[in-house]
Amino acid sequence: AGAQGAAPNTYVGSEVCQACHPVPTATFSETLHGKLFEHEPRNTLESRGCEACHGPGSAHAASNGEEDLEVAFGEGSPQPPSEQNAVCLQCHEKTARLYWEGGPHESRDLRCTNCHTLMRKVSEERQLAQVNEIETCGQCHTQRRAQSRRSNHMPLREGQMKCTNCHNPHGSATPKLLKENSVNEVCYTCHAEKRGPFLWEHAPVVESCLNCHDPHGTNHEKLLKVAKPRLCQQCHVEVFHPTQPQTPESRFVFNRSCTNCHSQIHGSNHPSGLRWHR
Amino acid sequence: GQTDVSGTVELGVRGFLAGVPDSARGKFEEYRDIPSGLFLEDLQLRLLTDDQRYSLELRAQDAFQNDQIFLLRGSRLGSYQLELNFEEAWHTFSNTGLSPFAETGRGIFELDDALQATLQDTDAADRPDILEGFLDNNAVPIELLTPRQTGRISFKLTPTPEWDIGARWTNMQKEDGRPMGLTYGFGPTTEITEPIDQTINDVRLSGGFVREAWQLQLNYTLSSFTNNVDALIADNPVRITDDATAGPVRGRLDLTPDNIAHNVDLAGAVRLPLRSRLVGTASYGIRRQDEAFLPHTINSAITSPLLSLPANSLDGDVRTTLVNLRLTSQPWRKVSLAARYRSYDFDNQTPVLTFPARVRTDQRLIEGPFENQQYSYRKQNAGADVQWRPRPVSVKLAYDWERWNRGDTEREVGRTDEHTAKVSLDMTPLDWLLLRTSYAHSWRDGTDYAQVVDLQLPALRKYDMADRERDRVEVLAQITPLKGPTFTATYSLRNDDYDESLYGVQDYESWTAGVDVSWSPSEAVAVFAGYMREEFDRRHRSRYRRSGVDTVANDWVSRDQDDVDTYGFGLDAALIPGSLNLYVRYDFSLANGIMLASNPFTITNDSAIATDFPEITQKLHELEASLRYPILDRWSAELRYELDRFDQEDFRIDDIQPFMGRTDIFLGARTPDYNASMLSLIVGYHF
Repeated sequence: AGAQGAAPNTYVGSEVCQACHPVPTATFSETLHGKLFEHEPRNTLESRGCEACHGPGSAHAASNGEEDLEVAFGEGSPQPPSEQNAVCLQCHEKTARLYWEGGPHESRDLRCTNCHTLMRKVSEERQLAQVNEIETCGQCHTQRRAQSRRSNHMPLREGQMKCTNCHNPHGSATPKLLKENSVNEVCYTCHAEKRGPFLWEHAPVVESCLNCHDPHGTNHEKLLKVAKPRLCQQCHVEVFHPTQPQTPESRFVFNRSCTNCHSQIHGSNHPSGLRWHR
Repeated sequence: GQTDVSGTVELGVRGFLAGVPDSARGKFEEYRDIPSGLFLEDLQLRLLTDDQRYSLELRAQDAFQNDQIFLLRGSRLGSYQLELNFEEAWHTFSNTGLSPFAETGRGIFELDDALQATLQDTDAADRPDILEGFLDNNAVPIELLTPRQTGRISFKLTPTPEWDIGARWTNMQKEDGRPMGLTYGFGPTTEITEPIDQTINDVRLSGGFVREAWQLQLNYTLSSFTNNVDALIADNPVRITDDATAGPVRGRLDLTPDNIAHNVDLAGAVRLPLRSRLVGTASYGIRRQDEAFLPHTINSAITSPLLSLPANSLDGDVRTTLVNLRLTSQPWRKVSLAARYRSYDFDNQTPVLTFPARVRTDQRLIEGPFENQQYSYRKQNAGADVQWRPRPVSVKLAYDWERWNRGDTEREVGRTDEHTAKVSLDMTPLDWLLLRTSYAHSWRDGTDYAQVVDLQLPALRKYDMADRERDRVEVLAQITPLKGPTFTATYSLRNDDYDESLYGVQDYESWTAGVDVSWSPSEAVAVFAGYMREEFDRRHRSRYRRSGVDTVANDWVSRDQDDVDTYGFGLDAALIPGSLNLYVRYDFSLANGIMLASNPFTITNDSAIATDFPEITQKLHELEASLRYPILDRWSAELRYELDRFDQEDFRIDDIQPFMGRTDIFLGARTPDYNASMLSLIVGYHF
């Protein structure tokens, strides 16, 4: 900000910025924001171009860059993350950003620019800081990125899924930033056949798919958290075969293990499907 | 005015230096299509009016392959956008499937009658040899894959910056089949291909309005699921005639029924004094399922008035209600406060039906009565936190509470309460150092645990409801010097103790540690390397039980441990700046899983013997190295080498064949190892 007693900081227009910063202004003009601000501003703020985000630049320009901009973004910025983010939220605190404030990313002082790059086009979509979502989110969520490299994985690395298919990184009404109202409702968006309601429900399935599966990737088939048959045996101590420790050669262990027979484990609508055989 | 036209076409040709045998292509192409020969990797076409206001964009990725993706987008800058997507994704389960069943109608699988007649008339001890000989000659290759095609049309309208209106329709088709088991009692078990012909239609409408001090959003979602195959019928290899005790000629399994769901939610936020903000969501959903019931059995020898159905269909009806509120405030510049409450109510209003009897696996009548249990639950969360941000430090103290109300008669614990205390400390003591740390301790109370299934071991505590103490630690350190490499180190620990559980999961500990290094010594070079170690260790206790045998001597303890190491390396370097570019990416995942089991006491029954299972290992290497060079003004050429190698040892499936002894018939669906190397030449034209 300008020194006390100095002339008030005023807007000078993007052309002034361009004179000293030709490269970033050129790359910015290729982005969605750049095009909107330059060619189709919808209000006064957008029409200010560079200064829409960085604030009035007269002092900065007059001092040949000695005087800081009112708002700078990124690691070296003197403004705290909340002040940097407030600039973006002037326009973006709606739709998917409704729950940003007080959310897990905001409260850990993440900046919008940790995940988004405004000044040049790095990704095909959403102006991400990295080439795609898994790399962007993986900057901090390194375990999730590692899980995606396992042999049993969702098709993220094949480009058929994205982190944002399930999560809203800007905040949501559901824990873990899930986009739907519950874990299962997220899964049903692709696996609607599991939604039911069924005649014979399996209670842990009804409550959360995460009781048995880890969608980020595991080293077990079907993204199971624990290898079968031990997965099922954690809860089933009735009589006979579920309680038997079994041997590797057992038909209760090999191939589909418990689901060789209990194939409708997600729920059955068959009148005789009480044990999910039908 | 004039229109700018730009785009890219990248056409390649691929050859396999080391090919993948057909048997291994199932895993190799689990979610992708890697053809040899010509391929169209990327196609982009952009039309942009000279005033930059209107644009039309077409993108195609892997066009004409099984994993093709198309996008067509038209927009007016800052005003509206219409998007059409089409995506195809094949999920291949295995390429080694063999089956003697002939699908004579959709979902109807028949065996040779002569086999069934022979096996029925043969002593049980001699049947396996006959079946083995039959399978050797009659099990033929089948496909085990589910192609999924997704089409989507979405429209977004922003008439003014204050308004956002959207509509989206998604249609997803799933076809073909996947492995599924079908049993005829404790006699034979067969594995067949579940016929899949399913459609999901989703419609989502949304509208939002924002002012400086408040905003509102209204959304409606309709999701409809249709399954065009209602039942799966498959022959029993050992029966040619129905019998009321020996089993049926064929078994019939109900495939997942059609269902429909509606959801409407209203969300909004309002600014309040003291830099406070209240945001909330109220959401209501309805799920219905009313598909006609199948009869109890296809076994004509089992008839009984007890098998009359109490209703023709379930009339399944679930109502969900979500209320979510969050209040945030910043009364002082460096102090933030937050309070939150969330309630998710899953109210299953499906009628409870009484079935006088049932038929177990089409084999045997079992008299009841049997009633369907319809689980309802309500999950509530509340919490508050205070955060103090005296830069460069940020400290947050938080308390969270979670309550599950499940209903005393349906599940073992009617109510659980979990309390969590959490402290987070983030700091940037130096410009180039960021530390994020957090510790949380949770304790869950699952008292009043009551057995709801008569046969269940009373001392069992199911892990999702049992008393539990949980500790979680998370650390992230990021070193970002102005010049030089950026280091990111992460560590996380989760320790769950179920001290009150005599049986069931006893403890579960997992930790992960990783380090990433990325470095751009110049604009021309970027290097990345990373390593992650993950360990998961779980112990549970069980007991072998049968009628008249229920003693602590037959207890057994299982320890399941999974260790995963993941290595990654990447290099993006301009060998000749502005001209020749080198890109390398290598990932290696090594996973080991062990299931150890032991008996703490001297067992009284041989069936209680606990033994270790063989180790399960998976190794996956993926290497891509490419050289890209611009030739002429608009042309580029890329030479790409790819190496994919998968090694797996899994005693449960490595040797699976249609015949595995007894009179079971399996598909023999394996995922054999592969070692593929490919060389591609891709020519790009950019205009």
